[in-house]
This record gives sequence, C-alpha cells and structure tokens, in this order.
Amino acid sequence: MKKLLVFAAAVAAAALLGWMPARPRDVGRLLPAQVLVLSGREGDLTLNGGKDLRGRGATWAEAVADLRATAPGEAFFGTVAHIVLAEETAGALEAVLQDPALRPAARVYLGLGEPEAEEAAAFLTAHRGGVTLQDLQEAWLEEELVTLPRLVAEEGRYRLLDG
Amino acid sequence: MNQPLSAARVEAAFGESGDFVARDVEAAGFRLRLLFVDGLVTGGFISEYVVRPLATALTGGSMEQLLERARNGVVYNAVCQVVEREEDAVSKLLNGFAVVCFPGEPTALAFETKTTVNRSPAPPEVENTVKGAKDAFTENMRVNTGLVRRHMRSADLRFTQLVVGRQTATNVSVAWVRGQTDPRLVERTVRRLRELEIDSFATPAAVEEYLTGSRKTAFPLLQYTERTDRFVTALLAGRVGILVDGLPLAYLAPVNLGRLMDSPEDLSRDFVSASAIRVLRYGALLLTLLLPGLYVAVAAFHQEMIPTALLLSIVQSKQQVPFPTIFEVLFLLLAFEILQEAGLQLPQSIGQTVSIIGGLVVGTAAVEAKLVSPAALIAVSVAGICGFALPGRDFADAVRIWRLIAAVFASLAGLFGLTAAFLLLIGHLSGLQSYGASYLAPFSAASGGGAVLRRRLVTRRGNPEDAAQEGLP
Repeated sequence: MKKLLVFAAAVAAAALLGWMPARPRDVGRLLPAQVLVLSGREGDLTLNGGKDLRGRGATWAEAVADLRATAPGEAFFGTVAHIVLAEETAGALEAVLQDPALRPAARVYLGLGEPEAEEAAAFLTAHRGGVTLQDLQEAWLEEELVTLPRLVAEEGRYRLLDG
Repeated sequence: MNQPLSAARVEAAFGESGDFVARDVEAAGFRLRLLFVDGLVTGGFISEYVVRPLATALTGGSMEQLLERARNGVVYNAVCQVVEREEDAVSKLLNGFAVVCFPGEPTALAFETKTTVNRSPAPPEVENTVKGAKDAFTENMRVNTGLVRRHMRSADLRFTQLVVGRQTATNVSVAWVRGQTDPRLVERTVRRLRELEIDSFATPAAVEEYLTGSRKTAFPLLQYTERTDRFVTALLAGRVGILVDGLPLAYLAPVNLGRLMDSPEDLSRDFVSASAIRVLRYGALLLTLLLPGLYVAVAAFHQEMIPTALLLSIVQSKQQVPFPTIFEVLFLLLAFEILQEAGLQLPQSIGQTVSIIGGLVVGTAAVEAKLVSPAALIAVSVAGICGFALPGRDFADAVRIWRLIAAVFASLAGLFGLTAAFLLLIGHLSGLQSYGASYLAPFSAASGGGAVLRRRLVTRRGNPEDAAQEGLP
C-alpha cells in the first residue's frame, strides 16, 4: 500500500508540474475546421477555416499562426478533410505539404472564383476530389506532375472539375 | 472448562441468562436434570420425546441403569449423543440439543430437539435463472447440507464439520466429493479453518478474508453462490465448498476470472446461445472497464481519432459546459456509485423509485444545466449498464474501482495512460492466486479453451464444469 501511495503521489506531482509527456486539450474548447481555403492578395496569404477561423500572413506558417492566435478557442486541424488553394497561392503548396497538423487523407483542390470555407464544406463532403495530400507528397518527392481537381465557385454555387 | 460433567457447572456457564432453562425430571424415583436453551429448541419435541419417555417409560434400579436404558432407545429420539465434558454439553445446548444429566454419573445424554422455525428455501435473490432450480440456500447450515444432498444423492459427497469463532461458535461445513476433490484442497481448507483464532465468523467479510488470507486486492478470491445446483456443479468439478451456519450462501474455492464470469444461466441454455452471451458478457466487461477512460482519452488527448461528424456533435454539446472532460466523467462515475449505494440502503419499496428518479433527475437536469455534456453522460451510463451484466457482485465492485483508476490514468496521459492502467490490471490479476490456482488460468494455452465459449456437455466427459479451467497446481 505504501508503494502504491508513493507512486500515486509521484504521478500527481508530475502532472501538477506539467512533466507529463502529453498535454490535454479539452474537446469543448476545440474549433474543428473541415475545409481550409487559402487565397492570396497583394502578396499576403489569407487562410479561411470557416466560422471564426481566419488568419493572414506572408507565408503558410504565418497565416496558420495568425489563425490560431486569433481564434476564439483552439483551432483544430485534425478534422480538415479538404484544402482549397487559390491559383495565386501555388507557391505555398510546399509548406502545405510539409505541415504535420494536416491529415494525409485530406483532399486538395485548386480553387477558382472565391470559394467560402463553410459553404464549400457541405458540397465537398458530397463530391470529393481524387487527389489527397499524401498523393501530392509522393508526387513531390518523385518530382511528378499532378493535376489538381478544380473547385469552381460561381454565385454561391459550386462545381468540381476533375483534372 | 475441561472437567467432568456436572449439571451445576453447565448451568453456571450460562449464568443468569433468561433463555436458559434447567428443570428436574423424575424418572423411576430418581431425579434427573434437564437443560436446554429456549429459542433453539422445540418445546413440543422436548415434552413429547424427552420428558414423557423419561417420566413414563424409563425404569431402572440405579442412575447407571437409567442412563444406559435412556441411551439405548427408551427415550425415543432420533439422535442421542453421549456427552462427557462440560464444554461439549454447552456446545450441544447451543446447537438446539436438550441435555439430560444423571447426577452422580460422569456422562450426560444430549437429545436433538432443534427448533423447526427456519426460513424455507426460497428462489435466489441475485442469481436468478428462468429454467434453473429455485431452492436457494438458507441461514441454517443443516438445511443447506440437506439441499445439497437432494441435488447430489451420492455417498461420495462428504461434509467435514468444524466450529469456528470463540464467541460465535459458528458451525462450518466443508463440502467435498471423494474421488473428485483434491484431498490437498480439502486439507488446506480444513486446516485453515481450524487454525483460526478469532472471536467471530458470522459475517461474509470474516469468512472471505480469513479463508483467503486477506490479500490486498479488490478482486474476490472466494466465490459465493446462493444456488444449490451451482454449488453441486462446482463440487463435481473438483472444487471445495464451504457452508457457514447463519449465512444464506455457500462459498467455493478455488476461483478464477473465468469462474467469476460464468453465469448460472449458461448451463440453462444450449451451448451456442450460452457462448454468444458469454462473448457479449466479456465485451461488457471491457466496456465497463475501459469506456469512461477511453472517452476521457480521446476527448482530451486524441480528438483526431473521433469521426468528424461525431466530434462536431461532441464539441457542440460541450458548449457552455464549464468543466473539463475528466471532471465530468469523474463526477458522473461517483454519482453513479452513490446512486447504487443509496439504492441498496433504502427499503425496497422506495429504493427503486428513488434510484430511477435520482438517475433521471441527475442525468437530465445536469445536462440541461450544462454541468455535464450528453456524450459524457452516455459514456458513463453505458459503462454502468455494462457493469450490471457481470454475474458476480464482488467482481463487479472490483471492476468499478479499476474503472475509476483507468479514467484517472487516461486523464493524465491519454491512451498511453489507459493502456498503462490496463496492463497494471493484467499484471495484478496474473499475480493473484486462489488456493494456489492462478486467477487467469482459464486464459492460458494450457487450459485448452472453454473460458469464453462454453463447450458442449457431450465433450466434457460428463463433467458439467470444465475442471481443466481450475489451473490447480
């Protein structure tokens, strides 16, 4: 019993001092994003995750950091299923491919028009593209060309054009 | 008290006790002394089968002759035992015998006149079955041995009787089957009982702790049953049984995890249904043990494992709930335990109502007041209901404790913590032994299976229980 109490006290102390290997983040505080839309204007990147998730920066990393810093909770990218990149943001593709917070199964699209994250989420859930982040990562490593499916936004309506 | 028998000394042993009766009976001109304890005897039996034959039928020219004739049947009583020592006389009196002392003689005679006021065998309260027998054990050990004999009419069924407890002098019977039970198991049990130097052996806790050595574990190392058929089945599997006077149940040893997960209903069904239900039961065991911890782990550490739609639903349901997930789960687990305990303490007539209302009120009101989220409530409730599917209450109580521990571990380190808690539990269980038999024996390769899926009776060579599961050394 003594050993048990000593062990319990040690674990409690470690937890209180923040020495535990994993930090909890309560699910109630999460702001899960389903679709990320990256657009660019005047050299600045704008990252839109729907609801109150918006960030700006010169690079992908800065835009993500800005989004997390200004979110009214904890932005959660583990639920991102679709990533829409505007034409002018092609230069950020490499950074997107290397972001460990994004799931490899997330599908990537080329955005035409001005797709909105929240509106596009429902459409893309029903009509998914065929190119995933993992496909792009493999192509990137093997220096192959991949054609992204195009998500066209016109007056609030969406269409998906393969290749 | 180790002195030749004397009526005066026996009477002195009972002092001024109001239920102790001592009277003279005249037989053939000699004055005999009749002793008994009111409440333990039937007055009519004493009058009809002791006093009347003593007064009217017993003849003789000396005390010695009277004693001899009374012993040989003039006093027509089914049981007549010669008592030579004072403490034996006291013991007989306390067991419902009437003792007749023959002044001047070194011995007395004890006639069985036990009261017939006993609770009749009734259906089991906990181990109910649809098709099985409905004669559960009662508080009277002799009635219980009779019930066992009715289920097993074999001369190989033996009862070794002892008295345990300095103050309670509790009669204990160790039941075993010649040719079936390992004599070492019987000897070990009898020796352990004989070596007990205690005042009381009247409560289940006393029986369980003293017989098993009070190991530091919440898991039972002795199995109890209310059912006579289950008791007999276990004896035939080579286990030893213990019947304690005053307790309406019987104990079985050794025990292991497989035995504790067996339900009496398993032998009432065909092997396919029984096996399916057993698989469900083991699933319920895992759910009740791990679900709250799993919920805490994924909700606090591994949200990416939750399907997106479910995660969105959980996030939405947790809006405005001020407490972290671990506090929600711990609060609900403790509330569940308190409700169960309250249900046990309250009289049956209102206990059920209070439990239902308490559950509904606590659950519904807590969710509406945003004190807990529906997801946490569902996780804990499902775990609680799965706990009710476990057959043994002692085992279920131990699992509930470990459920709490697992939830705490999960709150510290997510799935890693939950896994650590589970491995700790497995390590603890694998180190447990019941009468030398490993607790996890049925799950070893050597046991040959049968722990989860019930074998067909025709493949068990006539034994209704799988003796190979015992894992005896």
